[in-house]
Amino acid sequence: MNRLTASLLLAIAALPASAQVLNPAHFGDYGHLVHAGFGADGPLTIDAGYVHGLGAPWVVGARVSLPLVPEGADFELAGLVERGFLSSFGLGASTRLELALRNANTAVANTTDAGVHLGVRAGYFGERLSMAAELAWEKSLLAYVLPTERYRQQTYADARAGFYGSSGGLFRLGIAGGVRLFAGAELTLRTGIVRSERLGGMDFLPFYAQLGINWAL
Amino acid sequence: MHSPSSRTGLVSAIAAFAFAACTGDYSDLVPKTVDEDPALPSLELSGTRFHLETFGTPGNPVVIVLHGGPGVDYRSLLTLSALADDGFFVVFWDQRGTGLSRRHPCEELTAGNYLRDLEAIVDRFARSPSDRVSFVGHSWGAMYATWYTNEHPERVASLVLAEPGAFTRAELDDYMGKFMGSADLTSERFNDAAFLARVITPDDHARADFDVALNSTIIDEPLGLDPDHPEPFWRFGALLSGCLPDTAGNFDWTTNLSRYTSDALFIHGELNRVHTPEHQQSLAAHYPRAEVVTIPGVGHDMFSAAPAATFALVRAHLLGLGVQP
Repeated sequence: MNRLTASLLLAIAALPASAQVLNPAHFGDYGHLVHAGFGADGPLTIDAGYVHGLGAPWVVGARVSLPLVPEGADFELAGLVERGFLSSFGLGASTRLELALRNANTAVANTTDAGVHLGVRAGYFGERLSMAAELAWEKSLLAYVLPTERYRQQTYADARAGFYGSSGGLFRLGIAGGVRLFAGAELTLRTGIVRSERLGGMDFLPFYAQLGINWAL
Repeated sequence: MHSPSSRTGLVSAIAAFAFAACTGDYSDLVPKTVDEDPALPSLELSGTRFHLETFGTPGNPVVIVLHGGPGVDYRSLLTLSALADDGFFVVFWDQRGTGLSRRHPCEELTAGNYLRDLEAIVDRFARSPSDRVSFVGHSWGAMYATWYTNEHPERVASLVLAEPGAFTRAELDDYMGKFMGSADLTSERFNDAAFLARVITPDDHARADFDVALNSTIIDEPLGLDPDHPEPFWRFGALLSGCLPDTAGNFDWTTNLSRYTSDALFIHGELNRVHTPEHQQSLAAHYPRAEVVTIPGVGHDMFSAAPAATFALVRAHLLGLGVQP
């Protein structure tokens, strides 16, 4: 078994571990909620978050996501606001807006970008269990690109450091759910596929799978 | 006096203008092509415009240099221009959709067009319709040279093939499996590339080309590339590597190689973990007469990491002096 296969299996095997999936049925209970997650979204990632209930149906929060391989310069910070729409039967939807700041540092360039993420989940949101389809769209609005000396020597000496406009969007389609383990603790999962508005060719690792735990304080 | 709505519109317009003024196009991050910079040496041929340079005296035996990828360019191979001092006429060109040559949409980056391009290059620079030319091919370029040789063995004088990946679809599938298997998901470079893939979505040519450049370091370790002296390139034609292989079908470029009866020299870099000596020997076996020579201490970047040793091998082979082990 090669290392790629082994690593993919590792990512999947780690699924009983973490993701920031919120259940609008509990928005009224979320005074202070912390989240920890692990999964694969491009690289293997770890994330941590905080959510504060504003009283149903609104919550606000923040999260940080990092590649599992620590380097210190790659990160995503996001602030979120989410609103739930629930029927009396537990059926409903939840919409989320995130504003994100990311940094990606490579041997070729350092890229810092700000973007917006919009997501909607629709399905069943019960007291103990939730299961929903998920559709999300992510768009980078503005990026600051700083080419490294390596890139200037290897490829393009006149590469301009500066701000660059928005790139194409990225879509997620998947499922998200959670199960309440005991009072205040919920195990969550989201998994699906990623498709971007790229010019051609395949998306790099076009899937995501994250498991997490929400813990109400 | 302005109404609130007109003030809002004015502020929005100023903000939009300021935003547009402070942001750049991603073409500021990749070199200009022959369509954007008329000063670049170029040739209109085969329905496109190639970035192309020649060295030496027309009328001398022709050596055509084929770069790798598919998608890279000939920048790292320019040491071979010194072959002109040995009486060769050396042709360098960035293949269709790569390097500083013209960009093309995916539907024009086909295997059929690629074969026609090389046939046109040979016809353009050969001294006569029956003249034989020599090829020096690196990586994909060595596959490309083999493809042409299989189609036109009577037009090929000599071959130097530096670490080709495959000559048949089955070999390519096997090669790609090994290549992917060499990726280390826990390495920093892999994680950098994977993380970046969620940041930049390449929705135009320049952004796609820059995106590939950003991810270029992912192959450094498996191919044994020198991290301190990275192999130079101008522009990786991002679209090509995704579009070209899909149009090649179930190819087999070995069916006619028995008609090429000159020696083929295979050059291998010792540090390459994907193109192993056994792999190169298996490909060399498709030729009636071939020899594999390993250059110590370098990987797939032998032309830039060990230019003198690599050039000496190429020169000796083309001059018919025999291979110096």
